[in-house]
Amino acid sequence: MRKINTVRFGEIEEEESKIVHFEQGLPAFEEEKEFIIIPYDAESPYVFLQSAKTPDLAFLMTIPFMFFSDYEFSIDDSVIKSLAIDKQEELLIYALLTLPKRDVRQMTANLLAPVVINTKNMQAKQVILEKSSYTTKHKLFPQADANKGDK
Amino acid sequence: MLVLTRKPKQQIMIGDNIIVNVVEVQGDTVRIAIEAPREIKIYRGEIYKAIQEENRKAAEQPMDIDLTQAGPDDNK
Repeated sequence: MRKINTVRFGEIEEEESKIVHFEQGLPAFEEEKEFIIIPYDAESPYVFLQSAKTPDLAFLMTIPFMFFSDYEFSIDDSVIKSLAIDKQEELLIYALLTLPKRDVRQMTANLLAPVVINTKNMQAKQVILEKSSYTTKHKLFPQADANKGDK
Repeated sequence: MLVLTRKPKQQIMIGDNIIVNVVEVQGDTVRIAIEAPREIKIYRGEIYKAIQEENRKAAEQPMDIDLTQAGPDDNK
């Protein structure tokens, strides 16, 4: 068991086998190599990616396919190699979320750089989809702006 | 940092297996062809920067956001 201090959730005890390892960190957070995943709540499509070493660093993520049903990308050989991926079914895919000005309806997902986790060895990487047309900001609720005038 | 001057059609070798070819220069635009092993990741610098910037923003989330009404079916 590992004790992890967090600002949001207090002190958490997590099994070593549940710790997610980002060998290269995440862009802008290259020194953050270990995280745990904490569900927002049992039914929720949202999870937190909480740093194991920095108590106040937690990203919000979602399963992108739940909001963007046609989201797709291919994982190139270098990523397959570095995460030692065998089967697609063993992968977890998340998108990091940005929430401008506390407005949940304006939340955006970074589909250009999904987080790929190999659940078999808990190795993970934020993969940059260089050749895709996805961006760092896709609205989860594209209708939110259109409905604004009604309220 | 190593700074080199090259002309179109000239190359730079990085290690034994990466070749950077200067294809052409037109005004302020340089076309570059890179031959590298498949496991070497090559990105335009600004893509990596955009992701760094987005990650920094994503890390600044308020503590007490309420996402209970923000499921995929609340998409209206």
